[in-house]
Amino acid sequence: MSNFMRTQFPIAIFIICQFYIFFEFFIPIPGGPALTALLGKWVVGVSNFALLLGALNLIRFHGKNIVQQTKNEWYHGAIILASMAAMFLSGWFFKPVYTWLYANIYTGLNTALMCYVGFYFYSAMYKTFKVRNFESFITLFACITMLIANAPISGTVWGLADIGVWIANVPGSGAWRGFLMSAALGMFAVAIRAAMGLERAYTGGSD
Amino acid sequence: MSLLEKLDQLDRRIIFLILLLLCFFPVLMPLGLPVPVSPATTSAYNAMVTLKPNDIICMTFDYAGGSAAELYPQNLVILKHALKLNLRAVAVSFTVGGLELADQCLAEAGWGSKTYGVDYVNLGFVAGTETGMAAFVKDIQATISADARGTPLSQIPIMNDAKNINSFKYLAFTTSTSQDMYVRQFSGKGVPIIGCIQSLYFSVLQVYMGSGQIVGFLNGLRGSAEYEVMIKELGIGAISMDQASLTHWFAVLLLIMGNITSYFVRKNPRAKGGK
Repeated sequence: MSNFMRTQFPIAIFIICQFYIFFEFFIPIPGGPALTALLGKWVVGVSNFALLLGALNLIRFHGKNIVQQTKNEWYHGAIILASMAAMFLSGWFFKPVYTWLYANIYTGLNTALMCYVGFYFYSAMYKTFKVRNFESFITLFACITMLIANAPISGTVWGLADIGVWIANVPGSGAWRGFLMSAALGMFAVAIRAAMGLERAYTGGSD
Repeated sequence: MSLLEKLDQLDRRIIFLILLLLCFFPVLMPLGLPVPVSPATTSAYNAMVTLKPNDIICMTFDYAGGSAAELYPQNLVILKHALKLNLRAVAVSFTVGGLELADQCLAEAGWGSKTYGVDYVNLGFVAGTETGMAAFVKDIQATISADARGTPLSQIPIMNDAKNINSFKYLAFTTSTSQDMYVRQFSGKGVPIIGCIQSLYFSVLQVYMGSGQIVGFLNGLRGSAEYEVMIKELGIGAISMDQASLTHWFAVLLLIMGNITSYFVRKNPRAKGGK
């Protein structure tokens, strides 16, 4: 594939679409919203292809491990591919089996993993969350008040949950809004970089 | 070794065991601890009760099994309430895992007694995350051509009345990840927006509620318990509230105890390895 098709052409498409959607938002163009909606629909379609690409990549990666009998890895790959095939085939041909697998195996395993992490949270609270300076004291204080505010029974004791709610509503809200504003400005800066062709990671470039 | 040193070096398995007991004990012997209803849940409830029969609500299912313990009961209780009020429902997911959960939740909430396609529909998965949402908001039928069962949307009666976000009188997004994109895409369109979230994101949703971008939200399992109390139909949320109260306070106790023991052990030269 030529360099033009690999890097410059995708950047050109990106810049045209970006400018069009950006200006269409501010300047009324006849038929503009319809074209924007169509572009949005294309993104949905492309995203579906991205899922397919992910599945193919998984098969390629683990298939290679299985074929090459990579030590300590090939059987993990075999389990993943077998699970994938089971879900795919059952979803396609035997819907009740798929529903059963989803509800009783996938959901159960996923929940178990989250619970496992939960136990380590508790252990970490005792073992590692230590006050060593003023900043960590503030964090600990906010953490305790939020835990109290979130415990249902705390609401029955007047004022007990209010400190946590106040922290969430006042300093928490302020900090979060500041964070959102800075993130939005950051996104805007990235958009400008992309419009100038400086963001090239999606074409396989280094930045 | 002093008691403080022993506590400082407490075996984590003891913490795990106590946590297990605090989780199981209230299920076997419910304590019936009170569940006061928060303003966020009251607002979510009020937004629902003002609807008229046959109004259409939309609910997103954007989570998978790992977060289902907290989020599924919220969907369940809202759908049960909507069914009681004779509303119509549209379910949709912007993440892959939500499709099955939507089917399961609609069935468990009792929507099987209604007619699929007329009173409720599961639109399935819409790819593209935020872009998918933006397209969904503008024109549903242009975004997806068929529901989760593969029936073309043009053949589904409820979809004649559900063209875009303005067709809904209530929209509840349920997500285990960032809520920002939902607020960005759904709010400000004249539709009351309700957030169904994990407790982890409580403070984030407080911000959006304070600014009026969402009407209310259900705060994790506690939110669903509060909603169950309000509609007088106790379920898994209410059952879990004794656990939630005990385990939250256990966490507070661990944080305080961990810091007290570590402070005194640091002050004690023996614990630092001195003689």
